[in-house]
Amino acid sequence: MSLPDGNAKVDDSLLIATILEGDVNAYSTLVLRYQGAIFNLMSRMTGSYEDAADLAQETFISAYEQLHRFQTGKKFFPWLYTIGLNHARNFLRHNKRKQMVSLEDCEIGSGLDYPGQQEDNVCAKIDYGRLHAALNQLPLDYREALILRYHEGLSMEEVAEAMNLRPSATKMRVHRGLAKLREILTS
Amino acid sequence: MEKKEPKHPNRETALSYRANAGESEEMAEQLKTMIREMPQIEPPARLLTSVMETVKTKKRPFWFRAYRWARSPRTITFTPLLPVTVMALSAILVFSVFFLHESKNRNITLAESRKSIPVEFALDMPDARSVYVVGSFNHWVPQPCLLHKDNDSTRWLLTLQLQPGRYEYAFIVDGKRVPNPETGFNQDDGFGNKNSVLALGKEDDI
Repeated sequence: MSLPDGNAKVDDSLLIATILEGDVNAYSTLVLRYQGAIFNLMSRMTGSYEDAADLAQETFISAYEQLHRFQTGKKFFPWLYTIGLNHARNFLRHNKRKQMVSLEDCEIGSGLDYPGQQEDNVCAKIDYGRLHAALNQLPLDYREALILRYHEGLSMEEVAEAMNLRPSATKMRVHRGLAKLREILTS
Repeated sequence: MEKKEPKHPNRETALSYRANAGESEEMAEQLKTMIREMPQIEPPARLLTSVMETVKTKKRPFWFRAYRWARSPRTITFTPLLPVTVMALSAILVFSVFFLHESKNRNITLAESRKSIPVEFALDMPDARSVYVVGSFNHWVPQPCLLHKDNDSTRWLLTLQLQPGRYEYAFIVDGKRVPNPETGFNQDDGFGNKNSVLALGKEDDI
C-alpha cells in the first residue's frame, strides 16, 4: 500500500493500514499529528515537562505495539488518547505527584499588532492563566472531557470512546464541567 | 489587515467582566471559545525522533505476521518447461514405487515357498488298534503323531505341516514299524528296516 504524494492530509486509517503492511516510517505522520495533544495531556497530568515528554513517548510506543489490535473503522485519536490517559493514571498512581502547571507554560505569543495591545495581552494572559488554573482544579474526567470536546473538537461519541464512558455520562461530564469551571472562575 | 479593538476596554479581565454581568450563558460560550483557543505547550523536538527510533526496533507478534503473510496476494510465475519437468519427475516416482512394490511381491512369493506344506499321512489298515507316524521330521518320536480313524472308515489319517525338504518316515502299527505300503519309494535305514521317503517342494528345497 502506498501513500498519496504531496502534503495532502492522509487519513489516519490509511496510514495505519500502511504501517501494518510494514511501512514503519508512516507512523511519523501520526506522531507529528497528535504529539501536541498527547504531550499537553501529559503536561496537565504531571505538571512536569520531562515527565510529560517521557509519558508521551511511552504512549506513542505503546500505541504502535498495539496497532494491530486497533479496530478498523474507528477513529485513531480517541483510541490513542485512551492509551495516553491510562499511562498517565499509572504514572500518577506510582508517583503520587500532585498536578501543577505553571502559568509560564501558557504563553500565548509575542509581538504587538496594534496600539494598546500590550494591556490586552496581559488581560488575555490572566484570563488563560485563570482558565488553566481553574481547569486544573476540576476532576480529571471533567477536565479531559472539556478539553477533548472543545479544544480537540471531538464529537460527544468520540469523547465517550476516549474516556471509556457512555455518551450520556459524557454529556453530563461536559455539562457539569462547564458549570464547575464557571463556579471556580466566578467565586 | 486591520486588527479589531478589544470589546472590553477597561482593565477588568474578560471572564470577570462576563461574570459580573451575570451573563452565565454567554460566559459558557466564552469558556468554550477560550478552551478551544487555549494555547498549547510545544512538545519537545526530540519526541518524534525518540519514538521513531524505538518503534523501528519493534516487531509485530508472530501470529500477526503469519496472518498478514497468508493474506497478502502472491504472483506465481513458471516457464513451460516446469510442468513438463514436474510431470516427468512424477512419472519416475510412480514407476519407482510400482517396481519396488513388484519386487517386494516377488520376495514374498519366494518366502511363501518356504512356508509349511500340509501333508496328509494315510494308512488303510482297518484292523489296527493304533497307528503312529515317525520320521526325520519328528526325530522318530511317535508322540504326538497319532493317526485317527473314523468309525465308519477303514483309513487312518493325520495331516502335518512340514517344511519343504526330503524326509524319511515309517508307520508304527500296534507297536510294529512298517513303511508306507502305498508308496513304492523306500530306503534302508542301515539297521535292517525300511523307511518311506517323502520329497516336498521344489528340487532346490529337496
